[in-house]
Amino acid sequence: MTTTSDIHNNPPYAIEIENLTVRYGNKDILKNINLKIKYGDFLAIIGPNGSGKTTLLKAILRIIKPDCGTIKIFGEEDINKIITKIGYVPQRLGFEKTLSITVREFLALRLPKTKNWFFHRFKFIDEKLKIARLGVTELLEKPLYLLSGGELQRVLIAFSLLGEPELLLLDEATEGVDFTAENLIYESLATLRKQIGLTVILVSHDLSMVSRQATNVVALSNGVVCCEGSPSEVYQSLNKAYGAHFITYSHHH
Amino acid sequence: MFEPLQFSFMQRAIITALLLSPICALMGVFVIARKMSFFSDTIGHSALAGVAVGLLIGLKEPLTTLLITSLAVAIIVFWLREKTELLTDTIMALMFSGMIAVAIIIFSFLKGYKGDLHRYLFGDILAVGNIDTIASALLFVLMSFIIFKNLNQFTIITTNEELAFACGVNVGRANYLFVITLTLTVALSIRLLGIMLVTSLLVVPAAAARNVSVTLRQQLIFSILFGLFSALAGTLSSYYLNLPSGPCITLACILVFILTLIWKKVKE
Repeated sequence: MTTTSDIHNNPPYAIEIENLTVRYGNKDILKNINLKIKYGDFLAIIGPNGSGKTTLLKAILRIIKPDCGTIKIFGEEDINKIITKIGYVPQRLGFEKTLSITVREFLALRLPKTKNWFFHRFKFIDEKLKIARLGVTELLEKPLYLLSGGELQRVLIAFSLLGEPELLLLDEATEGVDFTAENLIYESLATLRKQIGLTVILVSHDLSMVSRQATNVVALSNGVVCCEGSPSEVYQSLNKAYGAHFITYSHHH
Repeated sequence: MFEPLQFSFMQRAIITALLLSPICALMGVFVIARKMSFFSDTIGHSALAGVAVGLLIGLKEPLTTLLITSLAVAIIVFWLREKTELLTDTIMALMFSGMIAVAIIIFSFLKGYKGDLHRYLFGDILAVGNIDTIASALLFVLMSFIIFKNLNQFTIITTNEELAFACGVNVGRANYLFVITLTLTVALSIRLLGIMLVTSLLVVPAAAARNVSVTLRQQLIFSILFGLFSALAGTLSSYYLNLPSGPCITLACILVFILTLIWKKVKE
C-alpha cells in the first residue's frame, strides 16, 4: 500500500510553520508561531478561549490570510495545489432550513469524481461510509438541518473523509457528541492513520481525550505557543507553570 | 385557450415567460437559501436607473444600459462587501435608494416617458419585443449551461463557504459567477415582471417547492415546475384580464405557494 510518506519522500514534515503572525486590527491573534508536524502525527492544539486555536487552523487552510510567516503543507506553500489533499471539519456549523438538502446529497458533493450531484445516483456512497464506520449510513435520507449536534459532526467528518484526505483538520470535532459517537470518530481516525498514514490536527478543550489520542500537543496562550511535546510532557509543564488554572480553564470553556 | 397564440406579441410573451421562469426558479432555490432575496430586489430596482439612462441617451430599446447598470451595481455591492466593514444589508439599502433616486431625477427630465415608466415598473406583455425574446433564449442556453456546469459549486457555497473553500472551490470566483448569473436573470426578467415585482418569480416558486420537498433534487424540480406554471398562467391571465403581466405572474406564484402550504399542513 502506498502511504502518504511514500508519495512525499522529499519534505520531511507534513506541515512546517515558520514565524506565523496573524493580526486583527492592532491586535496580534497569533504571534511568531513555529511548528513542525510529522507525517502520520496526531497533533492536538489546546488552550483557553481566544488563545488563537481556531485562527491557527484557519491560517493553515489560508481561510484567514497570515500577516507574516510561511506555512508549507507537504512541502508546498501554495494552498491551491494541495487543497484537495486536506479535509476540514469546521466548528459548530449550522445549516439553513431553507435548503432541503439531505445527507446523501450533501456527501455526494465531496466525492472526487462526482461530475454533477443532480444526475448522480450516489450508490457507492453507502460502500464508502461502511469503510468510514461512522454510523452515518442510517442518516443518509435525513435533511441536513434536522441532524442533532452529534449526528452533524459525524456527517461532517464522513464528508471530509470522502475526499480521501492526507491531512485532516478538525475544530472541536467532538463537541456535543455523545460518548459512543466520540469513540466511533476516534476509532475511525486511528484506523485511517494506520492504513494511509493520515496526519491529523485537532483543536480541542478536552484534555482527557488529548492524552489518550494525540501523539503531540501544542498549548496556545494569548496567541503564542506556551508549551509543546508529548501529551504527558505538556500536561506536566502546564501543571508546573499554571497549576490547575490552565487545565481547568481550558476544560470548562 | 389557443386564441391568444395567434398574436405575435403573445407568442413572444409566452416564449419569453417559458424561457425565463425555469432559470429564475432554479436560481431562486439558491437565492432563498443564501438569504439573497433583497440582493435581487436591489438589482431589479437599480435597473430602473439603467432604463432611465438608456432613454436619456435616446436608445429605443434600453436593454443594453439596463444590463450594464445591473451588472455594475451587483459588482459594486460585492466589492464594497469585501472591502469595507459594512453589512451587506446596509450596502444594498444604499445602492437601492441611490439608484432609484438617480432614476427618478432622470425620468423627471424625460417628460414624454411616463407611460414607459409604468411598463417598466409593473411589466407588460406588449412590451416584450423580439430583442427580449432573443436575449431570453440566449440567456436560457447560457444560464442552463452555467448552472448545471457549476451546480456542485453553487450547492456547496450555499451550504457553507468555509467548507467549500476546504473542498478546493474557488469561493470568490464561484460567488462572482453566481451573482453575475443572478443579475442577468433578474435584468432580463424585468420586461415581463416589472421592476417592482421581479423578485417574485425568483423567490416564490422556490419557497413553494421548499414546502413540498424533502431532498434538494425535489426542491429544484418542483421549483422549475411551479415557475413554469405561474409564468404561463400569469401571462395568459394578463392577456384575458387586460392587466399588467407582473402582478398577474406574481399572484399566480403566490397562489401556488398558498396551495403548497395547505398541502404541507394537511400532510402534517
